[in-house]
Amino acid sequence: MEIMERGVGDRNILDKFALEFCAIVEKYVKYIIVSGFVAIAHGTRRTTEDIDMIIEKISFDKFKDFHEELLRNGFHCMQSTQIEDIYEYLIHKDSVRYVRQGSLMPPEMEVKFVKDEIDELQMATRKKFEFTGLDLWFSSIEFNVAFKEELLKANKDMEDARHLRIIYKDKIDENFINEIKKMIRKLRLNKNGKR
Amino acid sequence: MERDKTHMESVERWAEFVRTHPRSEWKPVVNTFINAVYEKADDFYNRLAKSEEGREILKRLNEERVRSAQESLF
Repeated sequence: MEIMERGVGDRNILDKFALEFCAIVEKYVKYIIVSGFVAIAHGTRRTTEDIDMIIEKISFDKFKDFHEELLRNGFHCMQSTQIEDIYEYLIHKDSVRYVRQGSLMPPEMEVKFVKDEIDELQMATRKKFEFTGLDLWFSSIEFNVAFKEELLKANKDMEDARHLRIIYKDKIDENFINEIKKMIRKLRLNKNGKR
Repeated sequence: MERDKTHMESVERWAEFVRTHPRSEWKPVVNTFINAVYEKADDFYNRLAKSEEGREILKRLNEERVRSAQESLF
């Protein structure tokens, strides 16, 4: 399969970081990559300071094993060196950020737990995309388009959504996008349509 | 994805690093990072060009670029 065409060694720093991080995550928990990196992996020429990842909720003990393997493989959590503190962040629906040890610089992986039924559905409908050349799990194109058009709405997000719509013109499920948008309005926006 | 408090902490941490370190220290890393995004885009379009489906997508993307450029003229 095209996705497997290159090893990690000859990748650029962004792909190498994502592939190495996800290879560890995959051993412990189901994950998805969402938001800006999905667009960048599909050829948009814009930067993002982080890669956004959602993982299933896991127990503290499982998280401890997962976190310790990240440390052994050269990653470092920016929020704390204490596993208990890091887990507290996740439990309280905040994200935690991992970078290469000894680095404050990008790229960084922003990790958060699934927080509601939207995230659960994102996780259940995750996809791999051959054209990205990356053997990674992403949230579906429908989810990315819906979030960008209904929730995020910055110029870069609308451009990303347009870009993804063009690439997947014949494959995109418009009804599914509308269903997701309904869920976003119900669960992520207030009565005035604000976050 | 909604931004939470760690996003702003990260922005502030990076800004502080840039403020307190010489340009020669952070510029090469930023350059490598930005170059990686462009390399990724080039890889993506080269990958598309290898298949019929991909070439069809490239055609649509090019049409969009032309349309968008024309719109910006008026």
